Amino acid sequence: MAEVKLYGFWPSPFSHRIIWALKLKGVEYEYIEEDLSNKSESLLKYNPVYKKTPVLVHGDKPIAESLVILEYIEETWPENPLLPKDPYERAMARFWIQYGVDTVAALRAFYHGSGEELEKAAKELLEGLKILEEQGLGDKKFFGGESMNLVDISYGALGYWLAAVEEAKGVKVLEPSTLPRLHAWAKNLDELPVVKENIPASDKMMAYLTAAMNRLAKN
Amino acid sequence: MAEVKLYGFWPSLFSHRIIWALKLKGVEYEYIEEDLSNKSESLLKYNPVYKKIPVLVHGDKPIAESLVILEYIEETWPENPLLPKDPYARAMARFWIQYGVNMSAAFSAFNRGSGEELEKAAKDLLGSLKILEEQGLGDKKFFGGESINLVDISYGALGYWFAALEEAKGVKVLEPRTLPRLHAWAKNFVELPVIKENIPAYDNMVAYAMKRLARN
Repeated sequence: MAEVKLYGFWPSPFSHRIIWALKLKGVEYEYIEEDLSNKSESLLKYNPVYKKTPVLVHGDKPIAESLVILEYIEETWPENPLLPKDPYERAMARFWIQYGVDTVAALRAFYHGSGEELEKAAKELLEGLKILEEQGLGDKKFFGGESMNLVDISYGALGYWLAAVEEAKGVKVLEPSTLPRLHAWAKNLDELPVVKENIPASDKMMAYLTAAMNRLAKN
Repeated sequence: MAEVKLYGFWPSLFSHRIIWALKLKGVEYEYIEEDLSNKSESLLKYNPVYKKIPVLVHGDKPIAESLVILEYIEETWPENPLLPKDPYARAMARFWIQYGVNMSAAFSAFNRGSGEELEKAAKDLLGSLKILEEQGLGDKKFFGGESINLVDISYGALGYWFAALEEAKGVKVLEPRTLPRLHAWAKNFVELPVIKENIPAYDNMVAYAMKRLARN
């Protein structure tokens, strides 16, 4: 069985997505921590287009872009399926994963914003998440139903990561009063062993995010 | 066999992608032209999240977002495959499709810009297209090899829609001297009967691009 390596960055939710998928599939892999301020030769060789993490290397074949990696993992290790079997249900899952690309943009704006920009970003994020909650999640426990799937994985940052950013910014968006079902979903997701055991400790996340945001503010 | 309907908009490159895929698969469908200034009840019902075209409706099940629709078409009508069989080659195809998605901000900037902004946008696009040509296309005739696949479909707009926009803006990016292989690919792509017969007349594309620019 060809070797699997994951080049990641410990605070990045994009890296965490891949870890959860590999763990859910029971795939053995070697994790390589990248210092993004001093990128390794391997990273530059394996992801010449973007020079970013995460990169999965299977055998000697590299794959970049977390959503592409997730689809690859799903196809290569079909046990414990993380997408529905039915083509229409799969299309719905992919639709909500793609919707999440906009959510990531909104999360970035929230992360980078301050003052009025932050307020505006919080408002837009909230509006986007309302649609996700109402039409994407509905009354389901997880996007995948009783258990998590690729859609849940793709939105994972809304739990632990967003909570840390909200605390650092002093602005809450995902709350029981505004997004009751999505808030409950996030709590449930963070409680699942595969997620709980594979995210950074919250104080470490906070310290990293606060330092990163201060660096951004200085520039 | 459940009925297939496509809600589209005649100048939209996103609509065209779906038409090409359906034609390549030999799928019979009913085409419904949407007036985007006066959206139909059906469109709003079938795509409540974005209220945009294209929307494919299979039986009574709607699917929105052109790339999601393309993956659905590929899975539902497996004849004449438009993605590689091998999981790694599929991952590479999906990587390059996503690369195109990541270029949409640069295309928007080119579309909206003028003067210095336009120059910068053209330069950014050229840089991105160089990577696409070098690392995505390489020396292949099409991204799909000897015949087109979903990757070609996703970049199809470069051959006609983008060419019309370049003409309307008076700025060229995709040229034989700067992007020889990609330019050749684009020409070959629009010459294919399934494409040629399923895009608006070039003059209409230019007229539409100019009209849109005048509005902004």
